[in-house]
Amino acid sequence: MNSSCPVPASSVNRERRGLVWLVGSFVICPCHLPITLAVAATVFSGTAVGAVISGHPYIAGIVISLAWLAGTWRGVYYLRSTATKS
Amino acid sequence: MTSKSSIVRILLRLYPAAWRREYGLELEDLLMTRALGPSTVADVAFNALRQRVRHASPATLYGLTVMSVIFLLLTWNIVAPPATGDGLAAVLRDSPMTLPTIAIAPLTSYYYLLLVAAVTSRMASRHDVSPSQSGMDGIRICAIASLPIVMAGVLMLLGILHVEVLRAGQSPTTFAQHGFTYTFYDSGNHEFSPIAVLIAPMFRILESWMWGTIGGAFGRRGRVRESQPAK
Repeated sequence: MNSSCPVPASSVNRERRGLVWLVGSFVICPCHLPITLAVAATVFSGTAVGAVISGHPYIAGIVISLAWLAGTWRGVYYLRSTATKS
Repeated sequence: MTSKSSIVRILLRLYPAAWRREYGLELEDLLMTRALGPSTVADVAFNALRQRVRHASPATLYGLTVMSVIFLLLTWNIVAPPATGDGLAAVLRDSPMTLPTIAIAPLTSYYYLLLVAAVTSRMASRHDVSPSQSGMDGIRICAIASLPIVMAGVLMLLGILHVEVLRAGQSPTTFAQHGFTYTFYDSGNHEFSPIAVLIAPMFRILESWMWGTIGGAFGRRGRVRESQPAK
């Protein structure tokens, strides 16, 4: 059986993860929600996701806003844990 | 655990962690051997506040400064509402963007962003801090500065702080007429909502982080340059 113990992420790794989460959150920030929705609708055009975005923009907006909030929280969590450990 | 020891533990928690590590046991012994009167409690609590200010990072102190300014502007709006929606006391404004629907004028100004960059740059030029720590300092300034806005949002939701929404051409009422009321100028972009006030500071967090990181990067470059030996 392949049993492996989880390797704790180093401080640098956590910092990098935090930065990636925050930069990613910037991309989907609801400040530019119409642009995000337009880009998402274009990228996913012809697919079921594209149809959902075009047909239900408010639900798509709420989902993107929640994802942004969760991503920001995750990024801040990683960076805070780095600051506490250093 | 006796009530005295719990009071002493609470009083010790008021002090900064670094101070507690060094003098905590000593103060605990001293307080346990003495009678804990109201004057002693007040004295210990006041000194804890002094130590908090002494040990506070510049980011906390600047955050508190911006918080005081926002608090004063909110009070100014309630006591003497601005004649137009462009006045200094018009802290909460109708945002032209989709989200947030409410813009916090002092936190969206270039002066605020410059302040965040300058403070984090200064901190990074003096201490060895990583870019992410500078960004976190930017977030700290934003979080502390936003407290009066969050407080106003909660008071509005509870119905304690009333809101008078004025449209173009309408003039504000006086404090004697409206009482504990915030005057908001509606530009017609969004409907006013207390929840929008409550969540408006969240939209400033990422920008504060970005400017904190940029300021920190500049400060670090300056420190590295200074530490290099002259050729």
